[in-house]
Amino acid sequence: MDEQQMIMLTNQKIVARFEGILFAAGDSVKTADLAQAVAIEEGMAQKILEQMAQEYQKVSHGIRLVQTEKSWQLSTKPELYPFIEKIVSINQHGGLSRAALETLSIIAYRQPVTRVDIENLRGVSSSSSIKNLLDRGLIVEAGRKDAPGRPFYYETTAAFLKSAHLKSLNELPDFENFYSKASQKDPESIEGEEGLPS
Amino acid sequence: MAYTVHTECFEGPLDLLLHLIQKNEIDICEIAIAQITGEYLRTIRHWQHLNLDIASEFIVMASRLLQIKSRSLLPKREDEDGELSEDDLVQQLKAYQAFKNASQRLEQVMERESGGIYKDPEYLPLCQKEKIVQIDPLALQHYFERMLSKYEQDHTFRDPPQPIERESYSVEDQIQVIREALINSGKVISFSQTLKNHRRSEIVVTFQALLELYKANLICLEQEDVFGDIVISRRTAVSG
Repeated sequence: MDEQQMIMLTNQKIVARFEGILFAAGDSVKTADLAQAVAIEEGMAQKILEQMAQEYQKVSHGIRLVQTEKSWQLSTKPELYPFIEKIVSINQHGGLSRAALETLSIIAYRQPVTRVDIENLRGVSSSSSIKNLLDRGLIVEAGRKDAPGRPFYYETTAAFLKSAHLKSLNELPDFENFYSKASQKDPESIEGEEGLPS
Repeated sequence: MAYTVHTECFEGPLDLLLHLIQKNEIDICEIAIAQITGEYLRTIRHWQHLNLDIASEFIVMASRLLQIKSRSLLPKREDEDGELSEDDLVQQLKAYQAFKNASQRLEQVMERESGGIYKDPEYLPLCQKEKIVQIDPLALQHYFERMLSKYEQDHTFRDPPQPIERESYSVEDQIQVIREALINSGKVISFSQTLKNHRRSEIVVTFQALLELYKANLICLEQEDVFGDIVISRRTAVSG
């Protein structure tokens, strides 16, 4: 067995350990913790986890590995939902209202923002949308603005990143895209990097 | 009889303006806004006609549009304050449209993602490893002996049969007991010495009495270690 094969084998063992840990935890696990558990460096762990995530993307896998900021979590592939639903009944959140979605996208791109900032952009009262988003844990109050009335700042959460399938806020599509008319008529054109059917 | 009529739902005046601009297939610009002012007002009147509640924001926007239109009819002045110029509205509309597009994209992604199922954190039964505790055998012996002597004191077998009397102690009486004991013994006395029967009620009430005396600044208390005996001494008049 040459050196190359040795490394391959070690990596495969680490992959198995990571998979085991992530399955047992259920919850998301930090890259650093995973690295520590198998006694390798974090950078190495990150590389292996990225390879795993890619491997899971193959059609023959029903599980995917999702990175949110510096944590990893197993999840089923969204397109399998119709089949899973037949066996496991899941109480899914209803979708968000258009008002809530508008508010959420303003917070996502302009954070931290106050309620007044949001209402100036939308031209309508947005407090109920904000409350709805707070209740769902998609946004949080993040300090107060040093201005009359000391209004709250709002920010998106890790739960938002997860539900929008983003590793970090840097992955938000470039906002300039949305100024062009093309994006509005054909939103699919800027999607599809993940290659998942919508 | 009034009927509830569902018209197209608009998120606000900006949404309605965008709709009208798109319907007329014009770009967002000053001329567009002037063009659709009439249509905007007609829509609002139509809603009023249908007995719909109209949010105040729509009315505010109507007056803003009228202001813009009336200003556009007048010759331009140099010293215009430009508080609500059409340019602002154009910018606002463009920004709003961009966010609306962004929110549509967000909706698609979130809807798709809602099919992905994450497990809750797994709650495995506790199987914590036992930890080694360091115990000094001499200390163990010491505490065991102390416990035995206490037990003997408290439970010395009294001649049976014996009537069980209900004993009652009062804080006032016990204060007197402690005071007398202090006077008799000279300066210092331990808490256990003030007890006669070592009954629970006696211990509790005597302890209360002790606290009362301490509160009144009449005694000093000392305890060398936890659960050790309490040493009572009279507070000297000098320091008080």
